[in-house]
Amino acid sequence: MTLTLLIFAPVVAALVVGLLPTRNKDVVRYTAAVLSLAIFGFSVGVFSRFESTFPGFQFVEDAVWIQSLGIHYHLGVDGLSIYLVLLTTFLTPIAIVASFHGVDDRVKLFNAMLLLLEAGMIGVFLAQDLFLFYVFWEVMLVPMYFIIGIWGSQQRIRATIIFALYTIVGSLLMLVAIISLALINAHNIAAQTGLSYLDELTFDMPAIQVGLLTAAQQMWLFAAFFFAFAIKVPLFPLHTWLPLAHTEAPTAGSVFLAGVLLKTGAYAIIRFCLGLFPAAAMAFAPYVVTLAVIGIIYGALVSLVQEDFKRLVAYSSVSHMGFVLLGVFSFTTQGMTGGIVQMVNHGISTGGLFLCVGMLYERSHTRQFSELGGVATAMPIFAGMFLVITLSSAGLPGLNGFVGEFLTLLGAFSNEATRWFAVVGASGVILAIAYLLWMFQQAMYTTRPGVWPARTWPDLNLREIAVLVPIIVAAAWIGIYPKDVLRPMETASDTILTTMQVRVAQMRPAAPDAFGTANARVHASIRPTEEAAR
Amino acid sequence: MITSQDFAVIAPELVLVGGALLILLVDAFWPAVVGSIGAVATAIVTFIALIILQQANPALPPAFGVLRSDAFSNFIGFVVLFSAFLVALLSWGYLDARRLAVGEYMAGLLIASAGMILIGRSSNLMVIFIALEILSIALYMLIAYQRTEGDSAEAGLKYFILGAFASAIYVFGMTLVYGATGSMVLTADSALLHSPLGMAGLALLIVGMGFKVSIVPFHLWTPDVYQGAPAPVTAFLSSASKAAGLAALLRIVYPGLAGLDATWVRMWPLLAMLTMAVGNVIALVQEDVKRILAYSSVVHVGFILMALSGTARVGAEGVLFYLFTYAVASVGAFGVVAAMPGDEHGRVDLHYVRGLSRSHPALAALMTLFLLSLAGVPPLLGFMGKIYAFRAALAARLYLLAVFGALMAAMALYYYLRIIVRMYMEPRAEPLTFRVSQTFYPPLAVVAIIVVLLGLFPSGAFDLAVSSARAIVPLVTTTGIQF
Repeated sequence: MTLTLLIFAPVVAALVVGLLPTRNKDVVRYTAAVLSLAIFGFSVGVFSRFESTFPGFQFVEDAVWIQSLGIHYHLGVDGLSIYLVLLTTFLTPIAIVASFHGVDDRVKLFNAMLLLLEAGMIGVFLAQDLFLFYVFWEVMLVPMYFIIGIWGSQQRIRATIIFALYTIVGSLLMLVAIISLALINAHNIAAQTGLSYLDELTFDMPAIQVGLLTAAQQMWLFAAFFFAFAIKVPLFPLHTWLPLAHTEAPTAGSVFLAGVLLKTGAYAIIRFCLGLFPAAAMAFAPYVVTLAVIGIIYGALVSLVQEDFKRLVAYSSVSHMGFVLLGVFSFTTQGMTGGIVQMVNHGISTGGLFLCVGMLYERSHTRQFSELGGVATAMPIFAGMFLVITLSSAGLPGLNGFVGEFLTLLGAFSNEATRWFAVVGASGVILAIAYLLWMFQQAMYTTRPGVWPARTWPDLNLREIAVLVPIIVAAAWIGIYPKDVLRPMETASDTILTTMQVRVAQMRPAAPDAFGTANARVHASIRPTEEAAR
Repeated sequence: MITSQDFAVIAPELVLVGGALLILLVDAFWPAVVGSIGAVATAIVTFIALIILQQANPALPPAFGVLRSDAFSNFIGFVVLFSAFLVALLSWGYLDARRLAVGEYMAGLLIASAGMILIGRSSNLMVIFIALEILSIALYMLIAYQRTEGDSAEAGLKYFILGAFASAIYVFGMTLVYGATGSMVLTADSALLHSPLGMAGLALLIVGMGFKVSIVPFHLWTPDVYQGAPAPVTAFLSSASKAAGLAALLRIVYPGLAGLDATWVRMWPLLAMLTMAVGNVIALVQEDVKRILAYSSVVHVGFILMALSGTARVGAEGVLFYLFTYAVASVGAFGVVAAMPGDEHGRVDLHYVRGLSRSHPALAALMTLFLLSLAGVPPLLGFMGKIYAFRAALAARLYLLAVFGALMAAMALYYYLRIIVRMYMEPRAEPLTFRVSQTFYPPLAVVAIIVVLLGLFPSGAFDLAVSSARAIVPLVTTTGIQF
């Protein structure tokens, strides 16, 4: 019941918020903040009972949902998802409190939408049934359309529609792939048991007999799943929805988009693409890693030339998320652990950056660098906190960003197949420092020597400091003492990689087909984890 | 020899026709009574008919030798009566606001429902034709009911001309089939039926029904009629009338095409793709909410054809369940449109619904729910319909069709989203001030609850579709079709 409570508590909170009287906006705001804090507290409680060295799923719940299709209500959490769930519940109260001032229109609907969004995202990370996963995946998107469309800035409607169409195309193709997978799996099992395939239909993850899929089936299904998830990550060249959506969304929306929504894509790639189609994942790895590295460099270069504060942060996401896929597709324990921790880090750092952008925008009403500058003297507290968050995003040792980038690059370097990708990708770290410090200089100081714009904007108030402090604390905690944080992720990475090897080894010898050669390469390229860990 | 058992089979139709006559009779003497409680009385009559229908004994022999009361006819009857029930309640406030007479309208609704139930009962071509005429004539009247409005009269005339045209094609097909086999029953002699003459007849029968369910390229009447007809009647057209047309189509297709080789059955995927694509592309540029929904109903027929393309049993399950999910959500969506008075011409277009979420939050929320269900967003009922339609296509290994369907569903989201965007995200200088009659909310709330609850727990409704599919699909099924 624990995980069910965790998913449905935000739904109940959304209903409570929805039933409050509309007149007093502050009551709505504080209720939403308190409820979301309580949900965060509850998730910390779940975390405290989480066994970090246990390799499988914990707090498992499994019940039949729709009998005729073999759909289960199957939830579970492991080292891969626990921190992403925590990240979601951590960012929700921050986003709600950060919007106290910025959102003054239809406050009730706004807070209810944020809470529904939280429920959908937690569900995505917990679902262990493909169908259930798809339901949460879509449930998560609908509130996002509204958040961007109603409370966004000038081009919000265009952003909403582009975001909606991009995501729905990916989702529906994934739906076709999910149903195909269930039917193929049912046929495979039926061929062994001799029953009708309609009786073997199942969407439950453990019931999918991965070993029975042929290489060609894995390739096609992998491609369909990966396409849907790569849009969300976003992997170059599927990232074009991102700058617009991030820029036009309200602060809370940007925080959720960058902080959690992008992670659902990377998470799903690890969970489903690697878990269900290991052979195909290995065959596709060179292409994925190539695109990831292109994304790292491209995102960084485009960030360097942005005139718009928020767009710069948005493009930096493309660069940072490239590291995640680079690490994951190196198929080493460090690389994957680094990828997972990089997801969490990006959520914290970029979420923090968007909060800073939002706070500055509430005062300046502009996001253009040309109209900013000189802020550091007027708002010293803000400048200090902003600097810490900027440096955490840039990967300064001692803060969280360093841990993730270092591990992904180490992992990618230690696998011969991805060594040179790591070398090229490492330049992304340098570029990141360049564009982030450039950003900081333009916004906080001045780019024209001798000209120091005088600003009268007030410094942060207590509420805003309270919003940024948790971000900084989390960034420092992961940066200074990553050992505890990394342990569950390492366990999960080991489990995932071992399962992949076992499953590839189990595969039926592939019939000669279009993918036959690719399949042979897979067997050659796989590296045992022990060796990689050394 | 006519026995009481024969009447037991057609008891729901008798109740409906009896109710219609009673309402007309009372209307003739005490019009005020019908004016005030006519809608509720009609809803009660449909409800009684629904209960009688559910009590039907499937073991009864066919009435008069041709009318069955099997799980299939019960399922169609269920969809029809459920829609009629909701439409009667939705019409209450609609007729009241426009000062239209209640008696004839409700009688027409009941008689059309009777014809629609009748059409699902038999594979006898003559019975189908008679039932088709019963429901069509009632619908001509209902569509042109606002006869003083140009749109409504135009829609009635269009539906009449094209309906008569479709009927003529159907009758021509019927005579060809009769000429080939010497029988009005398609199962009589499949060797003779599948002669060139018989096949030509079958094709014409399918075309005739294609008009009724608006399969592209026989869909051209749909947008004009859906737009011009009174909104509750449009709701009825898109749900019950579609169910009836589809029932007849299935009654013709399954016995008629059984045992043919796959070449013939391959037309379904092509028709499905054509129907989805044409409906979608035109819907993208529409400005009138009713027209958008009309083209979207064409697209939904495409999804139904996608399910029909699948292997017989699984396909029929998909068709029937999808039909049910579409009927429910479309009654809801057109019901919301019915609640709005529209601009000076009575039209509800995208311009008109701007800012609806501020002035009428409940109405906007209901509309959003129904549109999202039509778009197939989980966990709503429309999503479950899509699942079964995709399952039917994928089980027959029609991967290309399924991927095409997925893209079309994504495209459809765009125009549903356009309506939602206007309602929620666009400002409006002077807010809408119309008052919504309280009579609209109970039926819309019922639809909303069904859309959510059956979306979460579809098993019960799906089991009905499964048993109904068993009744219509012959036990000897064709093999899986490669595409």
